[in-house]
Amino acid sequence: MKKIYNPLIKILIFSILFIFISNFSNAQIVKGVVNDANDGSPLIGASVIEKGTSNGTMTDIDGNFSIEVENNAVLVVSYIGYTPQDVPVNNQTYITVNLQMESTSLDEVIVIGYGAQKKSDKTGAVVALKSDELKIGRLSDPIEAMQGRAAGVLVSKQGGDPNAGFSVNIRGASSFVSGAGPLYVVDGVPGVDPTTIASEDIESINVLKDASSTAIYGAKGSNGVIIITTKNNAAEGKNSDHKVSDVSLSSIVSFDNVAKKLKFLSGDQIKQFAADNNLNVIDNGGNVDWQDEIYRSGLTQSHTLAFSGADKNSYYRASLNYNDITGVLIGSSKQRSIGRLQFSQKAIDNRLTLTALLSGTIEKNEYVNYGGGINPTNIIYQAFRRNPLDPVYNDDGTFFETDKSFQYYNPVAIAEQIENNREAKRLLGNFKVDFEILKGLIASVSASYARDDDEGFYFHPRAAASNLTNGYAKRNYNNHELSLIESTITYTKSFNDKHNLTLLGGHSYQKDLYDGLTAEGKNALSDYLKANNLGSLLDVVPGSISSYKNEFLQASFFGRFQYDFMKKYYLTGTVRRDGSSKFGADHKWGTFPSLSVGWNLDQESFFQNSDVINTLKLRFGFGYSGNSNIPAYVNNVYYVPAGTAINPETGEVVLSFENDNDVSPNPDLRWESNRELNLGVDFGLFNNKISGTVEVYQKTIFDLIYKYELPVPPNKNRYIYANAGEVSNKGIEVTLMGYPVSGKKLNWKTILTFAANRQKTNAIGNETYELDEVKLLYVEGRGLVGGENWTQILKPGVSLGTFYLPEYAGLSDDGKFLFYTAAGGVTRDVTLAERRIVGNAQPDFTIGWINNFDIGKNFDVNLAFRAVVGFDIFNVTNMVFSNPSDLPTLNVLEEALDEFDKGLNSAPIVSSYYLEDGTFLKLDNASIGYNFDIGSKYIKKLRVFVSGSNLFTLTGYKGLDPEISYGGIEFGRDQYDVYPKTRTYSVGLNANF
Amino acid sequence: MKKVYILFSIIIIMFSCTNLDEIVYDKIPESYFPENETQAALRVIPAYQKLSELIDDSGWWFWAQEVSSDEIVFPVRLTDWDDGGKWRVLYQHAGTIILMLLTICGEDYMKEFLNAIKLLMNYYHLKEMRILKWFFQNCGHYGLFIIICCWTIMVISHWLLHFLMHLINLLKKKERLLQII
Repeated sequence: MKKIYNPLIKILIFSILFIFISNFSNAQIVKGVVNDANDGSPLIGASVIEKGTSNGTMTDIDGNFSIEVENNAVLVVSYIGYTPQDVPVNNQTYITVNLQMESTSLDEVIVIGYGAQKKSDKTGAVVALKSDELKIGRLSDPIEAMQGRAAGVLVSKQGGDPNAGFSVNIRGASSFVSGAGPLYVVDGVPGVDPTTIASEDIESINVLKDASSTAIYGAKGSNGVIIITTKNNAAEGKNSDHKVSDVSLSSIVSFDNVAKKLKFLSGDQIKQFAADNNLNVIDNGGNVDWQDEIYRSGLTQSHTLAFSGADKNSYYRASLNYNDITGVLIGSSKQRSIGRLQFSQKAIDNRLTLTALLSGTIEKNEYVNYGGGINPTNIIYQAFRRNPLDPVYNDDGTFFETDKSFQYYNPVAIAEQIENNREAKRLLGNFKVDFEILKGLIASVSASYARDDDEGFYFHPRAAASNLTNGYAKRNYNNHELSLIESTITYTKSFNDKHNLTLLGGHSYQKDLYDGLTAEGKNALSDYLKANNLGSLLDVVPGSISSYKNEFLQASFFGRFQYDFMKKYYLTGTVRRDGSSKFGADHKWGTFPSLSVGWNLDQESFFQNSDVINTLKLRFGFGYSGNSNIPAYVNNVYYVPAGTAINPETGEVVLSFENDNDVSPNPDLRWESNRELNLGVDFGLFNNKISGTVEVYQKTIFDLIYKYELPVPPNKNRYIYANAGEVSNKGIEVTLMGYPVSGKKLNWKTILTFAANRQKTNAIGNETYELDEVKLLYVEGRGLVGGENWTQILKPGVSLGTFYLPEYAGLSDDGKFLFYTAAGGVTRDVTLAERRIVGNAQPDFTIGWINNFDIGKNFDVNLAFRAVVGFDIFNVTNMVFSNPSDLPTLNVLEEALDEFDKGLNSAPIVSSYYLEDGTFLKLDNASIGYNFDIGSKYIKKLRVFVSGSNLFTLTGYKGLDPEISYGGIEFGRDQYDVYPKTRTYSVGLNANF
Repeated sequence: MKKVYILFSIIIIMFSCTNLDEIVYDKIPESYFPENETQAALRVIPAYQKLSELIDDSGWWFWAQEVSSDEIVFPVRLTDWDDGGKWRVLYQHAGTIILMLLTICGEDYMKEFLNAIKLLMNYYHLKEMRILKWFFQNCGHYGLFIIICCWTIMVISHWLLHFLMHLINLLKKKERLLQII
């Protein structure tokens, strides 16, 4: 009994003593100055806080401060760019604090997959972006935050649709039929949709670029890995002897406007044209700018409220984000709410760590139909071609419709009448247990469950002129369920303080389940019921109702070995063995090894005294990774319902079953592989005023899958998926970071990224599966005849995105297009013209330039430029709308008048004439922020800012926007499907309490 | 010792899951097909399914014949029916557009033709199969001919498909089809 009471009594006595002491300790005023340790100059606006309290102040213009604290207090002095210092008061009344500049950015921690390491210890090509380096201002998606920030990571989106995602292409990752997007890992859970994270919640984004880094993710890593870590204040709590807490509020309101409108003819110009050329024009009394009718001003708001707390052995964070975007194209909007909870608790003498994460996202999208070429409900196409002399409304307020041209519908009516909505619900739960079995030996088990649901609603009323099926309604439901269990064992050991060793072993098992349901029908009898009651559909046939359910399994083993000798020589080896149910019977398992070495030259004696070079590191890595995101169910024969047919014997309508996709089973089918060599140099010069990284790589993607056609007979089935393609990439990536000006009045940090990639297709087939070339990127438009309207080619020797077109050779006297022939002459018959390589949709190089200025102690200014140089776009919008042949019935671009004056008298023909250089320079983002000096106990930090996005674009491109999306195998076309890019002005507020 | 047990048990739990045998839910694996007589009887239906496409405009058959032979004329009305001048060229029998149309028709036809052969290969693996395979392998040589002249092939295709249907009916009458199945 005594033993139990003893500690209690001790605590009691101690507490009483503590209260006693603290009550009687004297408060005193401490004065002092905060200086730069290097040159002794005073630091303005450095914060001086009494540790463990919210009592604090800032230094004035001479670096002086004055604060009333307890005489046994500890002051925490901090300043941006300097290492914070704890200064005990110890009854002093005047304190001089010399702050050291944060010597190196190389001490940042980077996340490398199943672990983290110091930046100075890295051996692979990894880019780490901290939250303050990410793009600020209005973001439609957290992926956008990376745009222009990381060399070699091409983040792109054609147009500005808030409902469309960004394409991310790392180092020319490519695939013919499989997915080529990177793997996202969110807080250690691979495969999570990154749009379910609010950008305000992101602490860091780490991009693993080369195979020696991504090999730890094996068959999922070949397109690169993006690791997103969310915020918490665990580190702060760990270093503090009391509980720390933070409440933060961030609000942004943005105003969006269409950045550029195309110049179409006005009603008067059309009337003038008709009068000049003795043509009849149907004047319905309107004078409408149809672009103005489908564009509007958008309003976006984004609010995030988060609170977090941490102490020595636990932390929590909860955040709620609400994002509401009204698109600039009528009928498009997006609302997203994200709730996120994170808890962690240590127990058993801090040897056990339990972490739980729960996140929920609800997204509501309102879509407007655009894109899809000459689709009758493509409102961009309909608005471009619509005659300004046609009014929007009739006198009675109904929509004006006329049948003056084939499938010619009022775009405003299409947008108003069609309901196209989606509601998505995403859930992510993760529970992780880490247990330190022995000193340095940690076993972890992490179980995750993610569920992505979405429901679609589509209704096209029978009253709508654009509806050709007497009304159409559709509902669909899709669900993806991911269950994942990952276990790792990590062992860290130092021998004699010279040999440092980290060993990792792990296992992962993942199950993906996809299922969904679609019900649709034509002849919708009620416009009132819409798709809410599908019973009102008369025309429902087999195939109107469909559903699917698929399951995929993956199992993996992985290991990593990291060794360094005195932080000078590094060696990292990784191996992962992956099995997937998608792979063919003979190749269920694949092994992906990698090896990398690093050498910190600055640690060597011959470099240690250099004034110029502070840090210098050489890295070399080689490895294999794979792409398991390959077509499924193609290694066996499966029968599926294949629509109806009339039984010739009975005359009845029957349902038939056919071999799915007509594929021949290929037991050899396996992952696509990536073999990559990476050479990197990290350096820091002039006291790290200039630092940077240069990476050179050679990346060969082989065993690429394509759908080959087989001769029937002797084969039973027409197609086979096989691994026979090969694409190689080599490139250089440069990141430079510098502080051109660093002082109290002005601090300028600048980051420049440069990336160039050269791609070449080595093979698209082999002896067994022969294939010479694939015609790609077909275009469609009014008056385009024949089946040869393709613009790109895939063949050995050229890269993806190579434009292969008849070359324009001028106009004939009677206004027909002329093209060069193989013999060197010219022809007006395009089928006799020679197709030539005339351009490429892949850029020569990309540049990002980010600048942060701290002006005085209150202002900060950020400027971010981005340039994509040396690529071509096939401008179908221009091809169709600069052709005067449809005048004066349909509207055209002002350029059509010039073409008419030149004598053009031909329907549009696909040729190099419409290929344009897309090179552009954009001011992506500019912002000015003001940080208030808050003396308040309640508010720690308050910043207000104004920012502008997409402020200007320098380009010679004639279309709406030169940015194209680098996703998939076909890209580089502008076919009346570019959602207008917006120019956005935002005002925002960040506050911490 | 306790720690070693814990370590081993964790390792065993960790490395146990390697099962890659997925369940196929929404497709019938080859070994299960056909499940019943109804399904078995429907297996040859896809051979007829796309026949209808050959006579409407999705296969260009209709337009290629009618426009070129004066039976249909497309007068241009405002912006419509000019379609880049293709009907005009077809009507005049001029230019390489004719070849283009023939290619489209021929490709369409070949697709359905191969479809029929494929089904036969899949389902008739006895004596009848050998006869039919011989028949269609030889007829496959018409493929070249198709590209040259689709009108001839149209006639032949009708004849072939009638013959195919006749053949199948003949077989069914002998009640051999179900026996084979």
